[in-house]
Amino acid sequence: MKVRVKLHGTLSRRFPNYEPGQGMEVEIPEEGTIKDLLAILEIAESMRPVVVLERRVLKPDDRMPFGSCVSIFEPIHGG
Amino acid sequence: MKFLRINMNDRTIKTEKVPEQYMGLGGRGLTSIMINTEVPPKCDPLGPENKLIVAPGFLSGTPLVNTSRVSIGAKSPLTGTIKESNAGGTVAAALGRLGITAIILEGQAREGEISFLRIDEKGEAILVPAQEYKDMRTYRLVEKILETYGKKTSVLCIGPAGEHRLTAASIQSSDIDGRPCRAAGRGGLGAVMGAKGLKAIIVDQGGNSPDPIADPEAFKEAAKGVVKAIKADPMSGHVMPELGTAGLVAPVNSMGAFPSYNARKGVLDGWERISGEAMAKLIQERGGKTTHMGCAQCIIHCSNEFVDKAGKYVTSSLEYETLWAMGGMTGIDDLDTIARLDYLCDDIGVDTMSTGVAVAVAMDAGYEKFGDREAAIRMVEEIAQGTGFGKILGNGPAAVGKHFNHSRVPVVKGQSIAAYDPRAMLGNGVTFATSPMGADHTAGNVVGAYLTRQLDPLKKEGQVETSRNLQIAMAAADCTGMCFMGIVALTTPEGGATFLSAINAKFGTKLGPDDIPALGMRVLKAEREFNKRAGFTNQDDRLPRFFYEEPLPPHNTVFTISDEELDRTFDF
Repeated sequence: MKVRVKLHGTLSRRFPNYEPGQGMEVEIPEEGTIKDLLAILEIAESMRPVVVLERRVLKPDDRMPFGSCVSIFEPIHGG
Repeated sequence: MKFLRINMNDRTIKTEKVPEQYMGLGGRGLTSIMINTEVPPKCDPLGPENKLIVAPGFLSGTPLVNTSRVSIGAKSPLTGTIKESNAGGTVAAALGRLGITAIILEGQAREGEISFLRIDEKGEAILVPAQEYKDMRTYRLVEKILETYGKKTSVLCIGPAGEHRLTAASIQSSDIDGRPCRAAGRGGLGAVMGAKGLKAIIVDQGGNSPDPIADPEAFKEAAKGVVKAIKADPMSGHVMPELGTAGLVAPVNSMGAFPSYNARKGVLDGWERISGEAMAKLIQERGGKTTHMGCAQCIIHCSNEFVDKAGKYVTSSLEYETLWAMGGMTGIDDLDTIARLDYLCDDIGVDTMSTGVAVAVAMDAGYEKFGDREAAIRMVEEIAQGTGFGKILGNGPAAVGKHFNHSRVPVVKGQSIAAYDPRAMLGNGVTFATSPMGADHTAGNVVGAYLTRQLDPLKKEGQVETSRNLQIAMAAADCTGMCFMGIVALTTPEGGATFLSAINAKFGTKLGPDDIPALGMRVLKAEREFNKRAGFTNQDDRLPRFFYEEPLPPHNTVFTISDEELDRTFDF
């Protein structure tokens, strides 16, 4: 199934045709998880990515609902 | 290990050995424990009984990277509580290299008299009359100071706001490039410095008499480990040099916790236009610097240099909290305006956070419209002009709320909250409510726990405990001089052990992991004790009513931590 992904920080630089306003479509397995999505995007867990769907931070084993749009951030703290 | 005690009544300067009771302390630990010991808690913060204490971290001045935080403490004229505000720049390292553990400013100069405190490369200090610099803004002031004393000079100074004793006044700290663009912004400490009659502290960077390191070889090894940990961490090694703290704009808006339009919404319309990503793109297009070294011995380079369309310097460093206060809270989604406001605040010498929130409160009260760029600049300029409204604004959000009889004022103990709405990040609300400093994100910022999924920001469970643990950890970290980005990178087991080794090698001690929280608890207890003696009670550890009553879109939640739960924060 297809999900929409918005990449933040420097993550979008990995995809030359990435459109910041639109995000990008990614094909993941039916009932795919966040872990699956990150693997497809080749974003390693060691990078400590933060995945947000509908204002909530998701866990690696959370499933991606059909047609969902997630935002992925690099780790950040402070201010 | 020496103190410089400067008596502004009779202009005498005494150098003294660090008394036993203060040995092993630095930064916030030293300022807070000393204020609790030496300052009458009920004194007038702008009177002669208050003391302004400047203390580098206990690792500042050593070769260890990222140890350039200087703590400045006093009884705050903004909050009435004990206060420590720390800043980056170069002065902590300069003082550390002179073996100066603290500068203690006591008494008060005669009305209208202002001076510089000059410390040369041998650590000799003198007071220099500075009448000709009266009311001078900080950028011009520091330029003139560097012309006189040389470029290898560190400066802590105040602008017109501090001289006028406005309670949102900052103390500005010069960066690597000699610009007064770092700030000990919180708590109105600039007003305390102004009340003492001191315009600037000027420190030669050529000192070569640091405190000895007990075990130099072990220290060298530990220092290498600290570098490795900071470089290996994805945030300090990669994200910070690219985006700086501005990288938080996107995730916090995406989580619906970015207080906007004076905390009426949790998402700023058009936040993408002021995000870290947008700022980096704009700076790059204009030929500015997205990666910049602001502080001495820094290897993270989280700073930036924002430039205008012509590529001319506007400000450094445009940070997350300023983007929020001057952007989110005011509804201004324009980076050029926010950068201009940041520069103005640094130049006038006021806290960008308190000032941005004060502008937002005025807008919320109907004085100007949210999003009005010109009005925001005009209002902040009024602080320097010394108009009636400028003085109210320069005294912070609570003063503005009182002026307009407007109750939606997001402050605790008189100090504004930071860029994390307590209704959408409950643990940050716990920290804002209970910190001895008034609302202060640096006292124990829970956002990291939310982003790493350790805690659900909207559920009550674990919020008080997490805030407590972070407040203890930060109280200890603020003693060291290590910057927050470095501290976060050193929270791994290996990083923490290496950092502890560096501390032990510096002092010749055998501290274990439990001794660090013990230090944090000692500091917090001293701060709480001071506040209690100043008249503060648990009833002061509360958020403004609207956070409990007014749901915050888009989550439409309120702050749900009970008073009883808040009162358990310091159960240790």
